[in-house]
Amino acid sequence: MRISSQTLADQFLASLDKTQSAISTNEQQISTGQSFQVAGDNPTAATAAVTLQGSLSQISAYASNSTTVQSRLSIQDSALSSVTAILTNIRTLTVQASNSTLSNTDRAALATNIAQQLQSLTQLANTQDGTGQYLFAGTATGAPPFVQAANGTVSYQGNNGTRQIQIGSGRFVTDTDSGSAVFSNIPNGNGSFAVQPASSNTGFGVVGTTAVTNSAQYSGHSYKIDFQAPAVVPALGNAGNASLSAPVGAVAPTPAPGPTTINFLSPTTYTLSFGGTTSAVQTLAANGVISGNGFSVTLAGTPAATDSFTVAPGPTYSVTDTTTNTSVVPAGTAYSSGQSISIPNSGVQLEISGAPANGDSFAVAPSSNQSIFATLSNLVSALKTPATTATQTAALQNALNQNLGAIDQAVNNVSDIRTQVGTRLNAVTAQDTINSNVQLQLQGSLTAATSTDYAAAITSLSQEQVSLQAAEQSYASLKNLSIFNYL
Amino acid sequence: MGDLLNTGVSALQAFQQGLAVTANNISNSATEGYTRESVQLAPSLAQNFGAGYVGTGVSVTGVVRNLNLFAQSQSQTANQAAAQQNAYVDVAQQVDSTLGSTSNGIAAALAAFYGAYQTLSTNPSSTSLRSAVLSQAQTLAQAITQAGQQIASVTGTINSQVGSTVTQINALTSNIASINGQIAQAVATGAGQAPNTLLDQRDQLVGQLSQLTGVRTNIEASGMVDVSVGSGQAVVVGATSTPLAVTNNPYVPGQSDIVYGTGSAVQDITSQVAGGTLGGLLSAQSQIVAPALSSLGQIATAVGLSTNNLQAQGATANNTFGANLFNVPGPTVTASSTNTDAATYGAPSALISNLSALGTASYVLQYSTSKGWTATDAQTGASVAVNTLNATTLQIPADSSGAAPALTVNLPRATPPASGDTFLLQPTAAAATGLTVALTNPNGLAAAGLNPATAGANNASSVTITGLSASTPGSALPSQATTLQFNTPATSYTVTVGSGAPSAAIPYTPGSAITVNGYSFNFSGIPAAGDSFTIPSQTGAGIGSANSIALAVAGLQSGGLLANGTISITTAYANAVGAIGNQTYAATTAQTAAQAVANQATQALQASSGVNLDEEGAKLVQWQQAYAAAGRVISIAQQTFQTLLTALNG
Repeated sequence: MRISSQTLADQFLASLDKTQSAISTNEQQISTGQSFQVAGDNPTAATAAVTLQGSLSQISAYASNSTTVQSRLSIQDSALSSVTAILTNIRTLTVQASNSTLSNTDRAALATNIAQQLQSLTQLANTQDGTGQYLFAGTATGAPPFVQAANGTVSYQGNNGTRQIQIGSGRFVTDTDSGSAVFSNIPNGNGSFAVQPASSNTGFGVVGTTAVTNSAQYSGHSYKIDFQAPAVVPALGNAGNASLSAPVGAVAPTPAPGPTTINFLSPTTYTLSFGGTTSAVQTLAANGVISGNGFSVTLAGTPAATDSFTVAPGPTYSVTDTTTNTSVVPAGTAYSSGQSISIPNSGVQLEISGAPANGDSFAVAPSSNQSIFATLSNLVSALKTPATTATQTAALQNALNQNLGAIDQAVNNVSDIRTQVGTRLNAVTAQDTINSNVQLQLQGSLTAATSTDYAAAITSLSQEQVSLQAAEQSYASLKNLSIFNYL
Repeated sequence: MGDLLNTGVSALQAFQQGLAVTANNISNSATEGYTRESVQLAPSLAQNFGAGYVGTGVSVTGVVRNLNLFAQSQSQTANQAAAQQNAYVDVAQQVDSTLGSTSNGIAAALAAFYGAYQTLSTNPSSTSLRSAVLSQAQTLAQAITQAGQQIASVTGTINSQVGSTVTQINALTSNIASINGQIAQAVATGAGQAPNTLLDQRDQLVGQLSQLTGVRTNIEASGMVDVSVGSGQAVVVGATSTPLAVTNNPYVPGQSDIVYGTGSAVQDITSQVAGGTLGGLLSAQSQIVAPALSSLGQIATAVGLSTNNLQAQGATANNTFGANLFNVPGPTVTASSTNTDAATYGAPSALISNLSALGTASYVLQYSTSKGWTATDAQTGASVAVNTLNATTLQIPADSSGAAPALTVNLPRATPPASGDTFLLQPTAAAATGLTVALTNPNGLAAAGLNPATAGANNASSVTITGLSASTPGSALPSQATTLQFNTPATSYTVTVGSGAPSAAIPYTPGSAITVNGYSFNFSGIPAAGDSFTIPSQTGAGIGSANSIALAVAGLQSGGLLANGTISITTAYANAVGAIGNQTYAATTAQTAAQAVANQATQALQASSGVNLDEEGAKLVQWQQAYAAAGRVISIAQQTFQTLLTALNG
């Protein structure tokens, strides 16, 4: 093929151009450390780089969120640990206060102690995190959630909300728990139902342990246990027209011995039999009062010779289902102190000991929420109330038992929440590990996609330099060849 | 004797010509477009002197160009393609260095903006974190609009290049026309000899012209060449040339179009011009610059609208709904300046009705009396389905799957425009250059969600309220509860605010959004007769540290949003970068290939027409020797004559 002189020059220039632009690209790669400056140099890597950079920035946001949530949860946990310590201390004091040898003054001193611990508890409930936000306020974290009024009652000003914090792709963890969940929403009683003695009770009945014996049967109904005075049951076949009044008496708070029978031998004489022993013949008093075995009854009318009356021992009780207004345990059921009263087909069981008076009643209701602060305030007022009469002692004992149960519920609640917080902290730590592994992978991919391979770039650069040199040298030697050198 | 002399003289003359042509070749060895010439010699007539024929010397029959026409046309075509590719790659690289640059800051700004919302979610009441969100929003808007404005300015560069190219074209065509005239004259007076220099010049000019735009040439019998561009518009006919002109694009005033002819015969030939620099520039404008601007605009629209929508679903600590964080310029509809109804019809407007279906295409809407409203893709020309909802509302693109269409066009009046009128609908281009931050007060940011609505416990249907948001962003939160009570049948409902009296019955069309007491919302299904729904008071919903809206906005960084909820904003931006990168890479590869082909074609042309100095040097020697020999013949002729004279004389 014929070559013109122009072609030789053009060819050299074209190869010069190509080699020099390759050298320039290599130099730029080496000096900037990036294998491409614009997407057109490497579109696939450019697309990947945008996505990778986005993911990396997300991971670092998750990591910083995780640090924040870990610190808040840790602060919450240590506050709750202090709360548990205070509650345990108060429990011990409450048990001490049950000791019957304490005087009113002693109990008042305990009350003052507990009142101070109540204030410390309030302060703990108003714990703040490092940025001044209140931990136990739900989402109303700008103001102290628990406010103590002048009369000592503590009310919750926060709300029930919780926040979600994102710690990973699609992974959220709940931030701190609301104050209502920790301190206010504590079920009273035994967690299922609570027994409340009527405030008008004059007797000495004290509520002991309560339990749900059959959770399948427990229906959440409310019940009322009414105590009646010892009853007098005339025997069938009494000929006379006598009637005895309801027994009254200073029934001592000891187990009642059992039914007593009044046997009339004549309209004016009678014997008392009890537990197999029969007393001596007694003469009816002029006022008609017959007493014995801790009770007294008043006779009205005239009994016949063989009439007999049975005086039921101790107080009796009846149970009414106040939700359905039906009687579940009939009146006259004998009561003995310390026995378990089981409400049939309901799974409800409770113990009442001591001697309730006629008309005393105890209400069984499903547990409602009561804040620990309300419980402690009740405890303090109960301890400050003097308890000298037996009625007052019984009332105090009831109050202490109730509040002790409530404190136990509160301690359980806090412990449950601490367990959940522990689980959440574990989840956060596990996610941290995953996040840092993902971060390493992403960083590696990003480097592979965008960084210069120095070995390859430098090798390529020296190769291009060699070929540039060769081209220049060959052109230099070519240009000297001309026929006109020889003509 | 005389014969010998004549023969010698003819040889001398012929070899002199030969030397002259060779000297001319050598002098023009570096001239651009010069075709190597050769002298054509032919033996003169032979004479019969009785015992045979003897030749009478040599004569020059002509000087010809050694031009391989095939190689010349190949070279023109290849160089035209290379020039087109060069112009195209130039534009692609300009756009690539903006949108595809690793340092344009958009990817980093996107990440930082959503990262700021993520951090805000851990402490929503912090003023400093809120200010950080606002400042990152500002950085993002600036990064996007800067890139957008740079891309838009490439159109300006293209326009000025188009202008100067057309000026060059006009200069070339007028030169070709005048040379045509000279050639015709030279051919007429040259007794059939080709005016080689003029022909070379004209070929050179035509070659330059073909690099600027695709041309077709036709050689007339008179030797003049006719040149036409585009789809046959003649720019050179004989010795006259017709110039091209540049005007404004009917839709986009900043863009240039090519026109041919004047007065009433003006013809827009932009879409027919192809090849060469001009073709490369025009195709780059529609295939690279406009789509790049639309892609960037799609990102800007997606970021702005999605954030604004979530803000409207949130409550602030000032007891207001969240205000719009961004100002997002909406879709633009431009009427063509050639519309016959332009003065009376007015301008349609458009809005984005389904962000998740929003693409990057622009559309040309056309009304015709036979087909109603139709649309085509502005870049590819493919037809796009239009749903005519009613006399004043169009939906594009119509989706047969039932999903809401991306765009809704509101026509200015029910009577349609003149048949044939066209409008350009650009859904996202304006957002690429005009996205700004609307909110300056950090307390206007909503991080908390609204108190949710509840369905009545005795409702017959299980329908719930969805998409509860503000009907006016930034307005006051309703402080009283709002109750909707559906009548029997459920084609109307009453509204009760707080403890006021119920309103009059308001008609309800199933599926339509409801605006009531400052709220705007929809239902998850069709409410039954007698159903009621209550939205509680929102007072205090934004006070404190609830963070559901902040979490939702942060989730937009990688959550499905576009393409019917399958790709995230980050992925969409990565795709936009990849698209321009792939276009540039493909164009650069094609450029290298085109250049190689052009080099090959030029070499092939040079093989026949190029001057090789060594060859010419050898030829010089050849002619010189021949000349010397011919001179010798003359001196021998003279000597023989002298001998004859001497013999006769003495």
